[in-house]
Amino acid sequence: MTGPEMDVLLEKLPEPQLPPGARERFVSRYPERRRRGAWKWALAGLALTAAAAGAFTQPEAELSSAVYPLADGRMLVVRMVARPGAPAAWQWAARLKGSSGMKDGVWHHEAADRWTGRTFSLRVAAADLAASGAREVALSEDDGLYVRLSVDGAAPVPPFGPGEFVLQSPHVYLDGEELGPTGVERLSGTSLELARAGVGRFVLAMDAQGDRRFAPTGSAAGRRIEFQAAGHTWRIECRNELPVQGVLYVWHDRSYRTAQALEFGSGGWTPGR
Amino acid sequence: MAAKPTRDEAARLFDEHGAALYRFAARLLGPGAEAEDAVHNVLARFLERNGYDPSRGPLRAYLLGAVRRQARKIRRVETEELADIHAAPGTRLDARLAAQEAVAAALDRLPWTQREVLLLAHYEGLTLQEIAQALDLELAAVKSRLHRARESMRESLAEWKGAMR
Repeated sequence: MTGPEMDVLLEKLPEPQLPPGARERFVSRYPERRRRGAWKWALAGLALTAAAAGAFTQPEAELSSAVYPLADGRMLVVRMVARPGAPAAWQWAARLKGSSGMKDGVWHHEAADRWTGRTFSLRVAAADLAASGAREVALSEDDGLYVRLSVDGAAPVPPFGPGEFVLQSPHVYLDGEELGPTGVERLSGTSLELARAGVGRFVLAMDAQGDRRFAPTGSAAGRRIEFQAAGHTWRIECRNELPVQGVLYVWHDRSYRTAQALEFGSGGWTPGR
Repeated sequence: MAAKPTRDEAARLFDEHGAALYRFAARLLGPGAEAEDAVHNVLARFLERNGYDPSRGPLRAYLLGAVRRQARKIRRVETEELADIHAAPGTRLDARLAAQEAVAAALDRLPWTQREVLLLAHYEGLTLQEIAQALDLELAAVKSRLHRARESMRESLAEWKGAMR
């Protein structure tokens, strides 16, 4: 077969067409126009915990929680809760990581699963969640995912599982120099993620669950998590005593790309090869 | 923090690149939600934290490169070693396949590293230089992968054609 003959055959492959509504689904993520003085994306890095398997066997198990300071001094507490019997897709959602924020009294959450590329987008047209004072202000299903957002004036008391990190006011340091604010007041999860432009991403866990991508190159003790990677010393310090102590497993995911000087959150890891 | 992009900006970006990105994603991942999500993800990231450097080639090539990274993550071929593994066993293509099925099957049998280059060169019309920029490869590597991809495709399709007779 000659090259030109093969080229003719290659042209037989039908051209994939955009699914109906793909454009609208993308465009609808964005506001009609930019509004001055609107709430900014004040809250970033809401992270959903990589769900422990047991989490799905308990009634409305909490997957993650995060506390964010609001400009007026109040605290916004966000919990992500899984309901038993929720579709399998939700279990993917448990590994989502993204950003959240309140804008014009509407809660937005947008995230993308880094592994599947599945995009998860949620907009809850509710009243100003922080001002409502309600414990549960939104109940929404989006793309088959069951999500409940809760807002409370006090920090939640989640059912921490073994090996779960809980960090208050975490600060991240590279070779002793602080990398800037993480923007997170409180964070919990069975794994942490730290990413930086030009370096990739580090996934930190106390239990690597046999995942060979991890290496025991760090430690968690007291109020400090520290590890060596990419020729540098990385340190996370928090205000509270860590509920986990001991050897820290680190996976350096060099394929991860970010343009940010610092991305920090919880969750986002599934035991792999 | 930069202001949230507007709907008009999102629509313009999608209209300009959405179809091509989806075409590439669908040929890597198969048509459907995964490919659509990959495209949405790439465009959203571009809109919200644009890391594009024009000196590194055309925007289309940059976005196609981002789609390729998304597709690799979805298929968990995050390293070159894995990407070099054949996606399907090298058995002969069934002579009963129609031409378009045979081409699809032959493409599926290519290692990821070769398939990406062939798709970008043949179906997206990127130059070798643009492919190198999109995939962050040396030009020589692109040439080599494209050559091997075309050779593999030619062998597979020639066998299939021979078996049909």
